[in-house]
Amino acid sequence: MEPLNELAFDVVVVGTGVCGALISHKLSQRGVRVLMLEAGPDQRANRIQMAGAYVASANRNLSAPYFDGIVPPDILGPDSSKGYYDQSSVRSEQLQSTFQRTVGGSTWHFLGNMPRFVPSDFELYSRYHKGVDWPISYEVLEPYYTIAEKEIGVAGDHDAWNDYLGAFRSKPYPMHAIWPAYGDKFFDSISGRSYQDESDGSARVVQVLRTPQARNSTIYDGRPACAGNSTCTPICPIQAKYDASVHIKKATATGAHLISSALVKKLEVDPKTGVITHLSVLRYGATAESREESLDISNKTVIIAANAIETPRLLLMSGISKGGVGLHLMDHLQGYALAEASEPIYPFRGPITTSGIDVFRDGKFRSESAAFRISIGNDGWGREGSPAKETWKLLLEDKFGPGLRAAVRDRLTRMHRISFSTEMLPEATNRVELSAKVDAFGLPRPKITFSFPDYNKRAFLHAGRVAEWLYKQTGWTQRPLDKLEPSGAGHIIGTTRMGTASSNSFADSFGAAHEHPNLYVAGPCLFPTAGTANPTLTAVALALRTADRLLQLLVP
Amino acid sequence: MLLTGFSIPVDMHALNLFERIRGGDGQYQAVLDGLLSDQRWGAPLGEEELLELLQASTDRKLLARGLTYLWYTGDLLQWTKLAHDELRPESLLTAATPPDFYAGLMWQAISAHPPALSGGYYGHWHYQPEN
Ligand SMILES: Cc1cc2nc3c(=O)[nH]c(=O)nc-3n(C[C@H](O)[C@H](O)[C@H](O)COP(=O)(O)OP(=O)(O)OC[C@H]3O[C@@H](n4cnc5c(N)ncnc54)[C@H](O)[C@@H]3O)c2cc1C
Ligand code: SF4
Repeated sequence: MEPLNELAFDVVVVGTGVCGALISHKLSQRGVRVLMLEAGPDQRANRIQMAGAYVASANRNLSAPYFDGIVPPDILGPDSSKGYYDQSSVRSEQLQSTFQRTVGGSTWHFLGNMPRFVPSDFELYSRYHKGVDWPISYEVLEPYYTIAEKEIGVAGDHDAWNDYLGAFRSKPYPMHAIWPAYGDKFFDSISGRSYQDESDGSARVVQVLRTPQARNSTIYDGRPACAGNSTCTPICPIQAKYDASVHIKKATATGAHLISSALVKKLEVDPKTGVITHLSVLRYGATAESREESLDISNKTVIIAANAIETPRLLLMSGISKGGVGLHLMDHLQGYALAEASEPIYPFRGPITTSGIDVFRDGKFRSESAAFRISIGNDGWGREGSPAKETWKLLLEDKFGPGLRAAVRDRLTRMHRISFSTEMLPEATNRVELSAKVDAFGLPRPKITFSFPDYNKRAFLHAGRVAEWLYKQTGWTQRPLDKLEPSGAGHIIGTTRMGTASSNSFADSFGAAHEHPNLYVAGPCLFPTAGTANPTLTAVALALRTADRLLQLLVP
Repeated sequence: MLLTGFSIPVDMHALNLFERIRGGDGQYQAVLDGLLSDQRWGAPLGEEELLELLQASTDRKLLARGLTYLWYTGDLLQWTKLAHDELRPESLLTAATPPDFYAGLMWQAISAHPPALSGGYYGHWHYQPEN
């Protein structure tokens, strides 16, 4: 292992998820010397084997491809309910979303939906007296959205999205939209109908839109077009879906230095100036044996891009809490509705969702209940009825032979799911703190306090009514659900939010910490409110803006 | 064909997996031999006649269900979790192999493909499958 202090660098980036990787690339491209430190191992060479390991794995969970038999599982892919987060045992009060510790971070297992926030998301308080306003507007971020879409490679329908819910687009998407799933055509045929929304008395035109996706609809950036392998979460075997290894490769090609299996456990702060002077870095090798190093960074810049759980955890382990570190933890709480289509719709082929309904992402009802985004599924009943489970049920009904084959075909080709993701409000009580319990490295685990707020419960009822209306329009038979339980979307947001001063936030809109002159943070942890869009595109747009600011400061 | 609705040869791999799950010591080979040598087996059977044949013993029905499930899904763990009560597995196998999973007949039955192995081209999901 090369001692860290022997490396020459101007900026150190902690975490190589998409935000850390893109900032590293943008800086190193302009000659800034970047050191990237990543807590997880480097598994980039094993993509195909990892996809195989996933299908053969015991429980096919999100982390299944990434276990390597060396690093303890809760270090690689922290399980949300057991082992890593210390939180309530009541499921509806748990944060159910997790992340991936590996070179490239959580985009390895993300789905890849890439909608932008809409203008009202930045002004929730001014418009609806809920949450807070962002210190920047949609207009300020718009140019960075276009760069983000190009960098990541987003496939989308520019004309359909331009000015939708007030979100203008100054440039087209770099790729045409991903073709919709066969079953989406049944929703296309009802697109444009009017829904009388009891929630605020308005009539809404329900338009079915192709969801913008970080998934190639053609060969792009040296990666192939999607072949419809349907394992985007937790791994795309052919990298048609974007993951941050793309920008890590670009960053190292332009001179950035990557050190994997290097966990930053503490920042040393000069109490007088607030400057971060040293990083304590725990380095472990193939034998899991670790070594601690102290990296001198007093005249350098440090960017923490370690996601909305690990960023506040690292700050808290370093004694940094001012500006609400750890507070306002959010996710997009998800619910679903299920139906049997009246004819085969042939799911389980292609990306797991290709279209959605976005009109409920804004409206007067937001002063009472959460906005939500609807995804039209292409994966049967999702977690509620896997093909294997349904086959077993038919066997229990004594089906065999041609009768079984016909019954399997009939049931499985007609299963359909609509899911909805609701916006959580920033509440100081939903938070990340340090637990007295320790992880595999002996460091405090994140203690999570979380809830299923009434604001979201009302949105579940609202979205449930919309789903019922949609299935009525298609003429399909909806299946009754026995519970109203939220699940996590994987969208971990808040905890070091941006704002105008340290009295209301940790950082400014560039991610610069108010109280620490050489410290920046990047990622969805900066969001003051959660909106309803999957967060990564917005986090990347913000990270690109941070990189621009740093280039202005560092490159004469 | 009788069990799955597909023309596939009887496959000892699935039988071995079944033995392992049930902690059997070769007795399922005997159950299978018994079934295959039953004179009604092989003749064209209606649904009810087939069931009658399988119901001849609990082991026979269990084996038929288990093997059919394995052929359809290649999916040991889902099975042992779901079918725990009925099969009372003595050992929970912790993994199938990717080829087991990819070979599952259910994907053919529904004109789809096993996850991670589409073998398809861009956009195939947009069309009604050919078969
Ligand atoms: C199932 C699922 C589906 C999702 N789908 C979507 C989607 O469709 N669209 C969307 O926009 N978003 C989606 N997301 C969310 C998305 O994955 C994240 O928003 C995004 O990956 C966050 O990127 P990041 O760079 O901020 O953090 P991460 O990608 O989590 O990267 C942080 C990195 O920092 C490293 N790190 C942490 N602590 C330290 C430390 N102390 N020292 C050194 N390194 C450290 C970690 O190992 C990790 O590699 C999904 C998430 C999940 C779980
Ligand atoms: S559908 Fe398959 S090929 Fe396409 S992005 Fe997802 S995993 Fe990759």
